[in-house]
Order: sequence, then C-alpha cells, then structure tokens
Amino acid sequence: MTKQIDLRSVWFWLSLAVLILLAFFLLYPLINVIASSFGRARSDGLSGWQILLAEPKYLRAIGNTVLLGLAVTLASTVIGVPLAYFTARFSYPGKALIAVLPLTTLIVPEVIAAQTWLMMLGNNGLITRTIADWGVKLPSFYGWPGLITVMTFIYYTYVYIGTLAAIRSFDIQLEQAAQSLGTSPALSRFKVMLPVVLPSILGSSLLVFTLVVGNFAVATILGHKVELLSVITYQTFVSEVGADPVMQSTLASVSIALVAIVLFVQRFIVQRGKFEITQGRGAVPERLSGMPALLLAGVAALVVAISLLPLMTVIAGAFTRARGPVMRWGEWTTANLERVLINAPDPIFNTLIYAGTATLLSLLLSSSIGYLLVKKRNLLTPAIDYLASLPLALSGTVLGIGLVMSFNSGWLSLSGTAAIIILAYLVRRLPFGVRNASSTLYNVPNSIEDASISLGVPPVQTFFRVILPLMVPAIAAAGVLVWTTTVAELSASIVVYSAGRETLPIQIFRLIDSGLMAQASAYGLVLVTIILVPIIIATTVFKLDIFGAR
Amino acid sequence: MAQIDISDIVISYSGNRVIDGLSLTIEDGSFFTLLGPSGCGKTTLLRTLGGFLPVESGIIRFGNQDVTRIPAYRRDIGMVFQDYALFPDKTVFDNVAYGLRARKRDENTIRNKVGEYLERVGLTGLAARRPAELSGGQRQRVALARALVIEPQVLLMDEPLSNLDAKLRVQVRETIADLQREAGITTVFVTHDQEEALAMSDRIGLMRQGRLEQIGTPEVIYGAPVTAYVADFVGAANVIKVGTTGHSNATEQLSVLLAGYPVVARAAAPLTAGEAWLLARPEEIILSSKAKLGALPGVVVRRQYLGSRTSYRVTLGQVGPAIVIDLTGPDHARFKPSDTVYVAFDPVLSRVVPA
Repeated sequence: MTKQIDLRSVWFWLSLAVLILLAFFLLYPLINVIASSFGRARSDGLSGWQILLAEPKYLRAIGNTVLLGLAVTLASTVIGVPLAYFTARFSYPGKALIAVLPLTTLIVPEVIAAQTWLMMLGNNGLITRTIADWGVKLPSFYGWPGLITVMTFIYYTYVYIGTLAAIRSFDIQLEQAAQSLGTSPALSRFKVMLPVVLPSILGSSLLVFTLVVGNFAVATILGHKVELLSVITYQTFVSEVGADPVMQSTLASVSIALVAIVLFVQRFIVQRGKFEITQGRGAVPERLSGMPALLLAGVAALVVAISLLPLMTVIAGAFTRARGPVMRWGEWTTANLERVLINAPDPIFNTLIYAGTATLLSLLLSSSIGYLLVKKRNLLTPAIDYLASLPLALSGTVLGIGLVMSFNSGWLSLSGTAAIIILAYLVRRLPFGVRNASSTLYNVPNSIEDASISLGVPPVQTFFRVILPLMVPAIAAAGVLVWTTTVAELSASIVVYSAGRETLPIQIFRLIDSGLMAQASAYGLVLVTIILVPIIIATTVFKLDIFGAR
Repeated sequence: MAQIDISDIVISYSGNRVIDGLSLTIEDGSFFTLLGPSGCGKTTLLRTLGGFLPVESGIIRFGNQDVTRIPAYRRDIGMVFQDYALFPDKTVFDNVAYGLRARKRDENTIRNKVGEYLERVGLTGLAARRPAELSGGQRQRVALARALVIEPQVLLMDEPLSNLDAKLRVQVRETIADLQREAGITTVFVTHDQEEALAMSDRIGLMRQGRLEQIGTPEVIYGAPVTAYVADFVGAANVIKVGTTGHSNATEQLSVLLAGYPVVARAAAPLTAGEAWLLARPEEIILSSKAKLGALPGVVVRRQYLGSRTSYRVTLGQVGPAIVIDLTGPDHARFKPSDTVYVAFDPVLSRVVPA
C-alpha cells in the first residue's frame, strides 16, 4: 500500500489517536525527565550533570553498574550458550527437564529470586547456618557475590533461549557442505555454525546487559554497600519527593543513555548478522552415552536445580514457622498463609485489580497498534513503532519517575491514585503486548481483507469479522504473558504507588527489607500461583503456544 | 453484468504515475485479459477497477454507473486473488456464504446458492472442510465459487492460476472459462502467461509500462502484432533489424534489406525510410537445402530436437544475424550443425514494424 495520509480512512484516525496517547503518556514523561536534568539544582546553582561529575558516589555507581552488567552478561553467556548447544545437538538422559528452563524466569519474579537466595545464603540463610555449624564461615553473600550469582541465574535463560533458537534454525547441510570440502566435523562446526549464530548470541547477551542496568529488585535487596545506578536513582527519588527533581532526572538520564547505547549496538549487530538460512534442515540430536552423557546430564540437572531453587524455597518458606526474622526450618505451619490470605489480603486484591485492568487495556492498545503496524502502515505508523518499543529502553525506575514528575499535579493529577500504577504497568509492558498480539498477523495475507471488502463488507467490519478471529490466539497468549509479567512488576510500581496501594511485589519487597522472610514467602507463594494458574490453563486447556510466541 | 468503460484514468503509486491517461472499453459479458510482464501496471489497473486504489483523474463506469468514487465494498464485484485469500478459520461453506451473509440474504437462500455454486465448481461434499484441508486446485475453486455466488456485475481475477502446477492450471483454466461463459459476467483477468491469455480470452490488452501496447483478439495479438514488443512477448518471434528504402502504408507489401539481401514482407504500420524490425515466428520460416529465389543463405549453428519439432539456430549470410527456425513435419530433424541452408521468409506472414 502507498504510504499516504488519507483523511477519510478510519485507520488514519486510529493511528493519530494512538500516537497522541503514546506521546502524552510515554514521550512527555521521558522528555520531562531528560529536560529537568539540565535544570539547576536549588542548593548551589550547579546543574545535575555538574554534580554528577563532581560527586565520586555517582561516578562509582555508574562504574559499578557497567561492571556488574559486564560480569552478569559474561556469566550468563558462559552458562547459556553451552547449555543451548548441547541441548540442540545432543540427547542425553533427563534432557526433557531442560525444557522447563524458559519457564523459570517467567514464573519466579525477580524479587522472589532475590529473597529466596537470601533465605539460603544470606547472613541468616539455611545453607550459611548449616555450614557455620560445621565450623566453616562462608563469605558474605551481600554485594558482588550475591548480585552476580542471582542475576546470572535469572538472566542466563535469555541467552539460552536466544542461542537455542539460532542453533535450531541453523541448516545442518551447511556443516555437511563444509565437511565435504575437507574440514573436520568439529572445525566445520566452529567455522560454519559459529559465525551464523554469533549475532543471536551477542544480541541476547546485550539484552541481558540492559536488564542488569535496569534491575531494581535484586540490586536493592542484595547490593548492600555496592552503589548501583538503579538503587541510587530510586533513593534520590525517595529523598527528593516534593523537592528538587534535578538529580533524580540526571541519574535517570544516565541510565536511559546507557541502555540506549547498548540497545543501539545490539540492533546493529542483529541487523548485520541477519543471515538468510534458506531451508532450515535442523540437526538430528546426537545420542550420547557413557561418561559424557552422565556428565552432561549432571551439569544440566545442576543448572535446572539451581534455577528451580527459588520456587522450592518459596513454597517451603511459606509453610515454615518463623519467629520474627528467624526461620524455624523443619517446623511446618499454615499460619503464614492464613495471615496473608485472611488478615492482610489487600496486596492480593490490589495486584489482581491493577494488573487485571492494565492487562485488559494493554490488550486493547497492543492489538490496535499491532494491527496498524503490520497491516495499515501510513505516515504515522513509523512514529508509533518507535514509541511503542521505547519502554524497552527505559528501566522501571526511570519510567516511574517520569510518570510521577509528569502527572503529579496540573489538570491531570494522578499521584496517589490507582490509575498511575495501572498506567505504569500498561506503558512498561507495552512492547511485550504489541510484539505478541501481532505475531500471527504476519502470516495473514493482505488479500484476505481485500477479499472480504470485495464481497461487500466495509473495512472496519472486515477487521472484526475476518482479522480479529485470526488474532485471537495471539492476543490470548499476549494476555497471559502481559499478565504474568505485570503482576510481578516492582521497579516502576514502587516508585508511583502510595500507602494502601501496595501490590504483592511491593509488599514482599517491604517484608524482605524488614527481614520477615516467612511472611514474604507466603505472599510469594500467592504471587507465583497467580502467575502459574493462567499459564497452566492457557497451555493445557486452550493449547496456546505461549513460549513459541515469545 | 455490465460493460466497463475506462476513460483517461491516471493512477499514482507513492508519487509515481504508474498509469497515465489510459482508456479502454470492455464489452458486456466478455472475457478480457490484461497481459504483460510484472511491473507493467496490469495488477494496479485491476485493483483500481476493484476500488482498492484511488484514481487521480479519469472516470470508470460499470454500465451506466460511474463507480470512480465508490468504495470497493459497494462496487458489486467478485474478486479472485493469486493467493486464493480464503478465510483460514472458516469452512468452505462459510467462505462461500460470506458475501451472501454480508448482503443479508436469508439462510435458506444462502444454503441453496452455496450448494449450487459448490456443485458448479465441483466441490460438493467438501463444504465442511477448512482451507488448510484442501489442495491448491480445490482452494482456487472455492475462491472462484465465493466470487461468483454473489452474482457480481464484474469479475476480477488477479493471476489466479499462477500458484498451481502445470496440469492443474489447464484444468482450472477450463473451469473458469466454462463458468464465465455460463454466467456471462464481464471478466477482467490479469496474467503474465501468454498461453493462458491466448487460450481463455475474447480480447487481450497487452500492457507495457502502464500503457496498452495493443488490444485485440488472441488471433490478432499473435498473428498481427503491431510492435516488436508484442511479437516478442506473445509467443516466440525473431526480431531482426532491417533497412527500408521508402515510405510504406500499413498492410502494404514491401521489400526490405536484411544483411544485404532483399526480403519481401508486409508493413504492420506506416513506415518511413531507414531502420525497421522484421518480425517472423520460428514456425513461419521455410528452411531448405537448395537455393531458391528470394531465399537467404545461412549456416546451422545449433540444433535442438524437441520431439514434435526441431528448433534450429541459423546464422544468415556471412556474418548476419542469428535467427531461430522451427521445423515440423516428416524428417524435421534432417539438418545438422554447420550445414549450409537456405532461409525463406513468408511474404504474407512476416511483418515489418517501425524501429
């Protein structure tokens, strides 16, 4: 279709409406943040950027963040790539277990991962205390060891999934061609396969880097004395509410810049590395036996066990008796759950209501955007495309700060309302929703709409009669994914929420802060249940391919 | 059912004038084919007739009705697409019934009509299937039934056969031709396949770069091309540079110079002195081993045996142009490479067009 402005077209007006919404609720807050970083801090007349350069604390935080990003990226790659390679190319006992790995990042919220690692290896942790009883003193888990370990075990799945997909789509005949030309199997794999899958590996590794930069839950809970950008930004925001927003904006801008640069590089690598594999004939996994099989099975089992540890711990913790911060492991009780379900269920209701509303709105918005982007391109859609993927470059903290700064007062004052939490959810998960809701549209030829129109059905009715039914599976899958990631959202909601509007992740975070792990586990179990139930229903009852869409 | 009148339309596509002032009349009930290579504007013209592309200026009429500004969904057209465009989640029955439901016919009528048209395209019994459970040929028949069941004024078909294999193409081609003749719907058919165009059409419009190069019956398009382009696009043709000595009117016989030898042919258009093209089909050229009056000497440089005929490549004169000659009949493979031969052009069938 030609790109043009057709003022009679419904789709043009829908595009305009979507663009205005995105500009107001996403671009405007972002511009607010960046613009106010150039203002003058009240106290001494210095601008935020001057203070940033003058204060070693801030520069240390930036340095630490980059360092942590590199370390976690490297560690995730070291675990994720070999795991993907051996899973794609070999079969060994217990390999089916590996299939649950992509699930773990989805069903275990970051805040629960941080919490459960602390319950095991923190100062009061089960493992720490057990080993201390044997007379061995473990080094403190807080700071670098904890940050790197926990983030690596959260994020390596991204590298694993990205690499696995690339290796599976690699045409094995290319390797055979290399062998026929006289290179050994191992060498041909290295020389032919590696260059083809390398862009995917790098792409997913860099994604991990951006996630580390934006990570708030693990950074705050485990960071301890290690200053990190996201933590410092949040602390500056908390201490500056109502005061001067210059420093929080400056720090937020640094994080935006950092992520933007990495995403830019990532895009460049992925674009350049797009090789056309014409007819993907996947490799038949090679069956292993004997020692290599056992070794591989052992390593894989270990990785799976560590990945599932948070889930086990949160279940056990929820049923374990506790006196204040002290967990009485081995003494079972249902008191924790009774307390959170009966005495203090507000966070549960808040989560269900806010996330439910946000998910419904998100589906409405992302299906419309997806349809416009795939099927009704016009002069405005490129702008919509950019804006709709912009949240990928914003950490939750930055987004939250932007929303609070923009809708704190004035004609649209949202601070203190549930609306601002829902708005934060909606904006933050928008790229996710758009990508998933539109996934089936690429396979729907444009001629189908033309056929319906030629048979006498006007364009808008055609959308509802012909296109929408075809989008339903994708929209449902998007709904499940947006829901699961929204109920687990912490970093943006903790910035915008107000007293009485605590959600489950916020409540869990506060309980961890007070050391009340048993109660945190009980809320955690409820949260995991809220996440798991829709996934189970969707995959078993409706046979949705959620992870394929992802 | 209606005559289609296109007068002086201009169509632009992302700023480029793709069709610039085209006029055409397609008679009521006839089968008209737009033939041309990809990018010549034939699909653009078809989609414009359907109302999917706006015209910048000019008028399109179906019968007495000016449809230029009428949106596609109110034009009363049936359209058949290259990729079938069946609704994948609907059954064959629901696909065919779609247009009738949009027209709010009662369910009884719908059931009868859909049944009738499924029978016509030979798909009775497959009504409950979904498109994914059909073969390519069956899908195209569903698409055809879906477009015809609404009994539209005009049937538009966009390369409907190009996704089918050779055998099916001939079968579906016959189905389409039969149904069109029975229903008597004015039909515009787009294709780049000259054989399809010749076999099915009442008239063919050969398009080139947004213009109609020639309009005529299949016999005229093949037998009397007015330009080298038409001759070359429809069927195989030798297009040979020749010299003309004076002015000639169309259809007049004249003598032209080919590599220094005189050749008698007919002018397909008015000619002036200078260079021109001689058009000759491979099967219209006579090849013999003995010198004859008016025959040019040549040497066989390549020979391809094709069963029912043999195709020769012959260089004319000493260093003249190479032409292709097809021989049929008894002993058609009798010449061998490097044989000296004599080539005679048919003075009636060979045509001269301006360069």
